[in-house]
Amino acid sequence: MGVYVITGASSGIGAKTAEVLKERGHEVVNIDLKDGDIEANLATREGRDFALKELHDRYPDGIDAMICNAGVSGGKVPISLIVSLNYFGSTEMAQGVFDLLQKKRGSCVITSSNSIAQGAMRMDVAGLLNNHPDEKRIVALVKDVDPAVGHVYYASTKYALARWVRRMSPEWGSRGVRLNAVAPGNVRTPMTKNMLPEQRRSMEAIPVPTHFGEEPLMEPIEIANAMAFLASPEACGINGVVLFVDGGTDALVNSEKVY
Amino acid sequence: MVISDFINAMMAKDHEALAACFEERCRFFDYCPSNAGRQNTFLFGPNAINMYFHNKFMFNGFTMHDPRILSDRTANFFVDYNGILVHAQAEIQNYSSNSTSLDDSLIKEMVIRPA
Repeated sequence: MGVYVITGASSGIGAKTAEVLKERGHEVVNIDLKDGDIEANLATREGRDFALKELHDRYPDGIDAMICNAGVSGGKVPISLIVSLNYFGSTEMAQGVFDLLQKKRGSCVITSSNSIAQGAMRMDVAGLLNNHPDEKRIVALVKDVDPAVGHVYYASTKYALARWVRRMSPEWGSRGVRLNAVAPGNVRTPMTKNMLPEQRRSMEAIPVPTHFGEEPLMEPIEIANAMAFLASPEACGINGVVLFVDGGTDALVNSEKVY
Repeated sequence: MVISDFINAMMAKDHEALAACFEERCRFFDYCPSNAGRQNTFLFGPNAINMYFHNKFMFNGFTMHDPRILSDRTANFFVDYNGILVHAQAEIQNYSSNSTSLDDSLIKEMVIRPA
């Protein structure tokens, strides 16, 4: 059985994915701000460095998978937190365990979002993150941005994550580490529980075809099963994929985007 | 006439009323979005129409302006696709086969093209 590391597994999709992996007999290491096996604030460089050191100390022979899932949605939190946690909290953690993954020819899965296909993101922000990933400068740039536009920054960070996966995966794959992303639809999590009324109305206008006639929220297990699969050796032929796990929302609004 | 119901639903941005204009095995094609630099729309079935326009109406992806009903099969209007206007014409190419008159028909095939 393998060692699976997952960030943000104290609740929501991460917790369900950890549960699925444990049921399959794997050792699961949860890195989270609270209730984690390793407690660290992944929105800060210090927190990430601490978590990475812990992983290297505990698993010098390598890990089988890294699932970078920790994230925060927009609306109530500072934009700088969205940028630091969603983007740098994923890419820095993924790159920081590359050597551990390589030792076991492992796999990395990044949590993106199907909001990347709905045109809400700002491509200039995604461009800054992908092309000039200087966290300090970008955080300074957005520090006074109104949190009310957080959903735009949320989608931008998730788009940048998906593009980062696409860009990095050929090299990673050639070195024995697969890198993929999952783009979930709206999921019933603590994050969606605390939505503002206008966020809820917007969410309801992003229908989930497999949940037609019901509240358009997917269950965490629907995403967790896909994440566990992508992280597993069964997905050994899959690299550089952004897998939409959204019950068909992307197909509904983007049917012509076959590739 | 269902063409009136269609226009009324579009103007009210009522995705459920819009879907109710279509029969179960319908198709709805819109070839105008490519004129606005977007993907054209190909929808099959009233539930897909319901969900798709719920999304488009909420996020201003499809706003109809100044509709003119030309016949029981055609209407002419402007569509605002997120800020880009296209002059369009909708044509009902087929009605439901089990209706006794056009008054109680549902749309089986509709195509919207640039006017």
